[in-house]
Amino acid sequence: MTLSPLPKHTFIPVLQHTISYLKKKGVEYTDVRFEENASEGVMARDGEVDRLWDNLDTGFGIRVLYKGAWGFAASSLLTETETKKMADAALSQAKAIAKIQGSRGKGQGAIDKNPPVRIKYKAPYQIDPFIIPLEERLSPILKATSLHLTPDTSIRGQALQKIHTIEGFLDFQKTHKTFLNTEGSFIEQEFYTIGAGIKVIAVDGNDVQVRSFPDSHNGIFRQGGYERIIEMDILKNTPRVIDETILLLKADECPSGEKMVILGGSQVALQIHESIGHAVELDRAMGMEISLAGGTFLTPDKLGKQICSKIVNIYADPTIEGGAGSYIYDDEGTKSKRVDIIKNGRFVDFLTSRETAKRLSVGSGKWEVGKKPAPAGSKQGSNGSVRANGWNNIPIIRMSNINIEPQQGVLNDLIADTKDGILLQTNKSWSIDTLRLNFQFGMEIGWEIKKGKITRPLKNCVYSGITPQFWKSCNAICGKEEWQMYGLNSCGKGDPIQSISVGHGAAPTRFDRVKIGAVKC
Amino acid sequence: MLGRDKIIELLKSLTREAREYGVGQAEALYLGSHASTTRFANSEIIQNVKESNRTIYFRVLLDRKLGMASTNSLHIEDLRRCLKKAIAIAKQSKPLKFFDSFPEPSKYFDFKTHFFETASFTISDKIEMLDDIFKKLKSETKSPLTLILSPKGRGKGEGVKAGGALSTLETELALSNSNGIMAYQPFTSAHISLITSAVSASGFASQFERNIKNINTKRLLSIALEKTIIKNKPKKLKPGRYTVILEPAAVNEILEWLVYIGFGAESFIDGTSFMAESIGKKIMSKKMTIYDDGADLSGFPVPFDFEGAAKKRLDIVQNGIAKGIAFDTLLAKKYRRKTTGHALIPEDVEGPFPSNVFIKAGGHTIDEMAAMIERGIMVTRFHYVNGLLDTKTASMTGMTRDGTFYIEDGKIKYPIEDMRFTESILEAFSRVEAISSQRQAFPIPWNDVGACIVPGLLIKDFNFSD
Repeated sequence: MTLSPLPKHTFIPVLQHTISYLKKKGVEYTDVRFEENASEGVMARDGEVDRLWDNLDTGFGIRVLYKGAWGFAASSLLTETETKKMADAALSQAKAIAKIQGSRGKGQGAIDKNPPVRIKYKAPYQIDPFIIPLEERLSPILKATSLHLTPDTSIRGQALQKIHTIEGFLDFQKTHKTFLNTEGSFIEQEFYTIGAGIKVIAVDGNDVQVRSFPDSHNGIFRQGGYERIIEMDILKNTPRVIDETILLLKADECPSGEKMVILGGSQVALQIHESIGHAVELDRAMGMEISLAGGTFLTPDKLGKQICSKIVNIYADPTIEGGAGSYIYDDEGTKSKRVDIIKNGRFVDFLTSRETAKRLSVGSGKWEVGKKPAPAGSKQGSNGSVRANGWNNIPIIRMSNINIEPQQGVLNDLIADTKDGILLQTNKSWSIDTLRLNFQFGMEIGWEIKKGKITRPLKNCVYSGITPQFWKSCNAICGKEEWQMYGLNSCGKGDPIQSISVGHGAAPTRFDRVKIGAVKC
Repeated sequence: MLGRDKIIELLKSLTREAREYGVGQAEALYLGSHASTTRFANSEIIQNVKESNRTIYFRVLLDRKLGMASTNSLHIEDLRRCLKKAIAIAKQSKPLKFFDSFPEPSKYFDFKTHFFETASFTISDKIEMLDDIFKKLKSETKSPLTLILSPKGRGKGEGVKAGGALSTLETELALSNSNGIMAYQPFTSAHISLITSAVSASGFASQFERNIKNINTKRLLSIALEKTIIKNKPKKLKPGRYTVILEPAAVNEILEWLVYIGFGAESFIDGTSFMAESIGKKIMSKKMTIYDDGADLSGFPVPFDFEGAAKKRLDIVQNGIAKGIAFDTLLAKKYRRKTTGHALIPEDVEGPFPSNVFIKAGGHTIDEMAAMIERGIMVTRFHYVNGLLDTKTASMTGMTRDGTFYIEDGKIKYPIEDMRFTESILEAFSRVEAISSQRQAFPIPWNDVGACIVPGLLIKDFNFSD
C-alpha cells in the first residue's frame, strides 16, 4: 500500500494550477515552495562509524495573503487532492484571521509588489559528495578520530591515554527549491551544503576538556562540494588539537577581571551572530518573535546611532559564493543583495521581509514609527532576508551571511601589539538575554598574552558583556589574510522552531576591558 | 490520520520486501504528524501554520552490518530507493561486533493518548480561543491598547499586550520489524504559551495537555497578568547568592539541559556526563528524585520507544543518588547493558534520552515556599539557558525573563530587572530546601510524544552573576 503520490516532474504543473486556483479565489498574494532535500549524516567515534543515515525529504508549502492576513499550509504528500486541501487550508486560515482582525493592510497592500522572475540557479561546487564512494567519503573523519588509538609508549603516547574519545561529524545536503508566486515568478535554486568537524574529549577525574576543529558544534558548514572537506584538512590538524586538549588538563584556570581580549575568528562569527545578527531582525523589533526568541534592543529609534566602534562595519551578504546562508533569491522571491547593517559603527539597517519593510516604511497601523526616518533600505522594500527551513515551514526573517569587514594585519601582529590580554578560541557555550544585550560565552581555550607574547594556556574561560559597550570597545580587526567564512547549521528561530544554516565572514578581533573569568559557580 | 491498519500493512510489506533483498533483519518506523500553530503578538494573530508530514525510517541488519535511511516521500519508487539505500549503507559498513538484533516483541501498556477534541480543533477554534484572551485582557487592563515601539521592545503606553503561541499536534507512531514487532499508537497534544507585556514588566504562563479541552485560558491569563500589572518599576538587584524559588517553567529549562548533558547514554559513554562514574554516589539533595516513566498516567504516557521497546520506569536520581541512564538497544548492546526503552528516531545522533521525565513532587504550595524566605528571589522562567559551561558539574548560565521578583519576609515585595545566573546545578540541587506539590507539564524538544513533569523548587544560595 502506498498513497500514490505524483511523480515529481508532474507535480510542478499541479502547483502552477494551485497558484491560478488561489488567484481566482481573490487572494492578495500567494507563493508556493516545493523542496527536495537529500542529506547524509555521519557521526563517528574513535575510528568507527557510530551512526550513518541517509534522508530524502520532500514537500510543498503554500503561503496565502488575503485582506492583509497570512495563512500557510504544507504537506509531504504530493497529490492533486492534497495540494488543493492545503491551498484551501491556507486560504481559510487567512480568511479567518482577516475576519476577526480586519484588513491590516487595506488600502495600501500588506506587501509591495516584486517584479516577476524566471530563473534557474545552481550554486557552484566542484565535487559532488554523493558520488564519492562511502569509504573514501568517510575516510578523513574515520582516520582523524582514531589518531589517539595508535599504540605509543612515548611520553606523548602516555598523555594520549587521557584522550577519552574523539568524535567526528560529516553532513552533506543537497537542496532543490522551486518557488512560484502570483506575481509570475518561477525560481529554481539548487545548493550543496557541506559540514564537518571533530571534537577531542580529554578526561582527568572530574576535569573534562574539549577541543574542536575547525569549529565546535559539529564544525564549519558551507555551500560547495566535497572540496570543502578537503580544504579543511582535518586529518592534518587533528594532532595539534589533541595536544591542545591534553595541555588544557594541566592548564591554569582563566583569571578573573577586565582584560584586553582577542577573539579567534570563529568566535567573532558567533559574537556577530548572537549580538548583532539576531538583534537586527526587524520582526524581533516589531515584537513578532516574543513568543520564543524574544525582542531586540535595536528598535527603529536606534537607526543611525553609534552602537559599535568606528572601525566596525558589518553587512549581510547572501550573494557571496560558498556561504552557508547564500542564495540569489530569498523564499518570498526577493533578489538577494549586500546590505550594510553597521557602517563605521553606526546601526544603519535591519534585515527585512516584504511585510515588515512595508510596515516600517509607511509606519502603518499600530507601528507608529513615522516620527523617525525609515532606513534607506526599507524604503526600497524588502532587502531579501527571508528564508524557511524546508518546505514545511513558513518563511521568516533570517540571517544570510552576516560578515564583518576585515581591517589589516595578521593574528600574530595583533598578539604582538597586546601588552596584557587573552586570546580566546573556539566557542564552548553561549547565552544571551531576550533583548540581545546581556551575553556570556564560554570558550574551549584561552591563551594568556604578556608583552606581546603568548605565555600560557588557560582553561574554563568565560567572557561576558553588554552588546553596545562591548562592540564600542573593539579596537582592532585582522585583515583579509585572516578573514574566512564560518558557518553553522543550527540557528534556531520561529515558533515552531526552524533551524537553518547561516554564514559569517570574520577575522580575529580585539576588544578592550572585557570581563573575563573562569566558570564560577 | 492514516490509521493503524493502513500503516501496519505498509510497514509489514516494506519489511517483507527488505527480507526479500536478503537482509537478516529489517525495521520500518512510521512517524506521521499533523501540526498546527497560531502565533500572536501585540494582541494580534500574526502567523498560522499547518503542517502534514509522514516519514518512514528504515534500519536493516546484514551480517551484523547496520544501515539506516529515511524518506518522507510515500511514492513506492522513493520507498524502494530508501530501503535499497539502507541496504547499500549496510553493505559498505563494517560489521558491528556487539549488535546482532533489533528488539523482540514485548507487551505494551494500553493507554488513551489520542483525543478527538485536540485532533479536530480547527483554526477557527484557535482564533476564537485567542480572541477571548485578547478581549479579556482588554477589559481587565481597562486602558487603550496603543503601541509604540519602546527602547526595550515592549509595549509603551498604558496597555498590556498578549504574545505567544497556541499549537496542536496529532501524531501517529508505528513500527514493524522482522522479529515480529507490530506497534501502533496515536497521540495528540496541545500547548499554549502566553506572555503579557506592559511598559516595564512581563508575565508568563503556559499549559501542555493531551486534550485541549483541559486548557484553561482564564487561569493562564490571570497568572501572567499577576506578574505584569505591577505598581513599581523593576529595581536592579546586585549580583550575588540569593535564596530562590524557581517556578516550574524555570526548573524545566534546567531539567532539559540536565537530560541533554547528563541523562543519556551518549554523554555517559563519552565521559562528559556528570553521571559518568557517579552511579551509586550522592550528587544532589536527598529531597531530589528524578525518574522517567512512560507508563505513568500522571504524565504523557507512551507505550513504546522509537524501536518498539516497551516503556518502563527508569530511576535516574533517587533521593539524591545517581541511579541510571537512558539507553537504546544499539548503545546498550555495545556496553553490555539492556535497553531502557529510550531510543529516539534512528538519525538522532544525540540520543537516547529520557522522554517522560518527572521530578518527584514535594509537599508545599509556591506561596508556602515564599513564606519560608526572609530575603530572596522568585523566578518565573529563564531564557537561553546553556548547560555546556562545564558538563561534569552541570554548570549552566541563563537569564531570567517574564517575571522576576524580590521576596522579603515571606512576601513578594517588588519586581526586579532580569538577572543572569551562573551555577553548578548539581550544587544548586544539593541545596534544595523545598519542592512544590503542584507539578506542571512541558513539551520536550527531542520528540513529539513525551513530556517533562516538573515542580517548583526552593534553593538556597543560588548564584546570580553579572
